[in-house]
Amino acid sequence: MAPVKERIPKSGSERTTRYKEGVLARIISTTQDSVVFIDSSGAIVEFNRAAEATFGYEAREVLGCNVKMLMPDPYRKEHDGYLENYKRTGEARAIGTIRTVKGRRKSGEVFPLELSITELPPDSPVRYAAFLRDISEKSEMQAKLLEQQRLASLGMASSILAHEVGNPLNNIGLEAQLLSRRMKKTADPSAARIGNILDEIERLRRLLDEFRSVARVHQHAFEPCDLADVGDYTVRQIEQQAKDFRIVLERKVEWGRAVVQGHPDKLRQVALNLAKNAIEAMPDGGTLRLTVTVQEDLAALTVEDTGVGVPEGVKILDAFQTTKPDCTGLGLAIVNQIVTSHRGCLSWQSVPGMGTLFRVALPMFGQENSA
Amino acid sequence: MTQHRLLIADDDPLCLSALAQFFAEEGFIVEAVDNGTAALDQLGSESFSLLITDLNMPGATGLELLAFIKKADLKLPAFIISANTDSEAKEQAGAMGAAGYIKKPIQLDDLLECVRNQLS
Repeated sequence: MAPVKERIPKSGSERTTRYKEGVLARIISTTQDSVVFIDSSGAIVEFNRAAEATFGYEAREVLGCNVKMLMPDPYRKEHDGYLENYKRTGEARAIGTIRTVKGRRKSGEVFPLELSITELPPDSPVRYAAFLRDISEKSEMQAKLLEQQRLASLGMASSILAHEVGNPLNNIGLEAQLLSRRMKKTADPSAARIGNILDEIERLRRLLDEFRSVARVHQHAFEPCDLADVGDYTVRQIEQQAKDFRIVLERKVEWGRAVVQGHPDKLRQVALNLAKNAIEAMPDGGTLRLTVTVQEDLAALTVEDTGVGVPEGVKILDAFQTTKPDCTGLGLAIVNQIVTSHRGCLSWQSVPGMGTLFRVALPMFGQENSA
Repeated sequence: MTQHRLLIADDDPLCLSALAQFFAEEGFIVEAVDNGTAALDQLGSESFSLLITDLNMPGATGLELLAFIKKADLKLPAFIISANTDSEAKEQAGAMGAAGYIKKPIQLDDLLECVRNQLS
């Protein structure tokens, strides 16, 4: 077949236009930002390589489809409405600003992205040009940083509180103990009242210990620890309590593999706290499953129960969030803080009425810096 | 039975008087001082069976009292009491020879048991 002879542009301005178009096309194709153009109906007419990489779709899969396929709900449901509204009223919500919105990949994963939209004339084949930047990593880092700052300030506040409350509480306690001794000697009937004061002091003392625990988290010295040891210790600690509540204990641990760099006492505290929560979630019996596994560079300890579950909307990892009347809501905040200070991640899933699963994932020994 | 002499040092007057009264009721001879300087004076001039001292006090801290005991080779067991429970202070007290580190709020019966065990 004879080669197609390229048409030679006749005029200088035509040459300039073609040159510009060529440059533009190259920029769109090679930029690291996702570029998505749509027509006035919302159908995709351009989907560059970066967009393919970001969203996981090939251009041919999306060209001609409505752009809302790249959005999660509620944007997905509302996008046609946005376009209509803009056509009718001229009130722009997305045009002319850089906004952080959510995108949806082919895999279904929802991720944060920065979006800027440029509008072209109504008769143009491209009505709106969107430039998008995936900011998942940046958002994750910011969230981690915020969490660390939050935990650090909680630690500092706890330290001050433990000290400032500790001294007057000590004095109240000492006076009450002296009074109690005297009253017992004289068989004074008010001794029981003093007993109540001492019980309340004991409650405050426990609260103070929890605060001290928050304040102490940043002070541990690390050493290699086998999570299997941690799991084994936990099971031994809760065996009797589990029996009392007719709870079946299932343990699946891999010895000698899930070795992490950590503080053994603190990791035991984490596992024990999770296991005790699991027992408390099963007042009528059930199954508690403790698992220690290794997945690539992560060692994981999971504690799963078949208990009451966590009601929706409760942010149980935040300090002072609790569903139990007698608890301070500091337990899981401390667990989270310990796990974070080990460069690990605490996650959970719960179905009300079915049970809850907590997973502590820690970088394997020697992998801490890549976590 | 020999009566043991206790030196108790705490700058918190309520805590000091409560501890002094308690140990006096338990049959100890108690010398109570409310600052570190007075505690050092007592340690330098009198003989005691045991010291109970707060960690942070004006004049000299509990750790400084421990250092003095060590330097003067007094062979005197000492308990540090404190609302400060950071592990550094606790480890330091242990390294300087404290017989125990007791956190406030104090359980008097527990403290008494520690003291008796130390003296027996």
